[in-house]
Amino acid sequence: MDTDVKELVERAQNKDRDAFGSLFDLYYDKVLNYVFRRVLNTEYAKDITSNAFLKALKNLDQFEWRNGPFSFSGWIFKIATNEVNQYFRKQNRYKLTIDDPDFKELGDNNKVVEEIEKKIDNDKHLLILNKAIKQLKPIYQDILHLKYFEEMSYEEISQVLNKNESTIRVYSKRAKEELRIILEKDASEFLVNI
Amino acid sequence: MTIEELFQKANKDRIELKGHQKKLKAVLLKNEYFDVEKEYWDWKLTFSSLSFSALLIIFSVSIISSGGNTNQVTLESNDFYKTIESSPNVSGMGEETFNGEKTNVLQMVEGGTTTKMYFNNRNVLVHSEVYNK
Repeated sequence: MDTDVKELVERAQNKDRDAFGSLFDLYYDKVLNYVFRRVLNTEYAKDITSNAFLKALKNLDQFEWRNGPFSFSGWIFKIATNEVNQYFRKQNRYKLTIDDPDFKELGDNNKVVEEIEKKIDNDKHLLILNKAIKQLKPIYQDILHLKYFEEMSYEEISQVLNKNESTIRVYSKRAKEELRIILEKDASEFLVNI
Repeated sequence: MTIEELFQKANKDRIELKGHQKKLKAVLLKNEYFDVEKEYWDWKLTFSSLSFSALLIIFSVSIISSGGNTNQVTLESNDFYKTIESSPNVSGMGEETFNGEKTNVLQMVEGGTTTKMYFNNRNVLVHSEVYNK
């Protein structure tokens, strides 16, 4: 599969629309779900995912396959992570950068979005984790989401965050310790009732 | 309960937004990226490069005119950083090391030009790179 991805990337860099379309289909769900779990808001998840893919396309010529099998996924998740952090900094000033009028029309019916948000509202574990994680340093937030929700290896995370693997291991340990302290302080009653 | 167990209890159902996926794909595939590059003088590209250069010159002149007053330089650097950072076509690219110094990288996309700006921990612009498509 890595060979396939590498070939698709090379073809996409040579302006092959079908190749980029295949890459997009391969990573859309992964990126959307990662972003959604970070922000827990369907509309912002759509905007952030859209901006991330547009940025990936515009910077595709600069991408070089030099970090082994996770090169491309690491690169695309790095762009998505930067966009998520940009959203956290800008909040309601965060804007969709695609100005195509066709794109702004409704894509999914409200029922789909409502069902997603209802599911989230009922997921106490996810809500409490998300609230606690948001109190951590940005890089700790990135690591916990990539490791425990996206189930990435330390090697993959190190490529997404541009840090060496041993640093990621140390940060991951500290992130878990700090998360535990926050949960014990803010959500101890909830934790007892699980 | 361990942190790992708590994460396992959180719902990991994948969401699907097929309508959004379809529309986004269609928009991306008609992006100018896929057009064959043309060899002609692009006034938009030149203008955007020149406008950014002018911005850098104004910033440099303001530092020189401050007479080396460090506080004033930092203050003006912060204003410059905030102005750039709040622009809609500017986004953060995370941290990178430049000349052994940890920097915060902002990227501005204007027309066919991408400009990467490296700011140090006092928000002073220490380096910039311009890429033309």
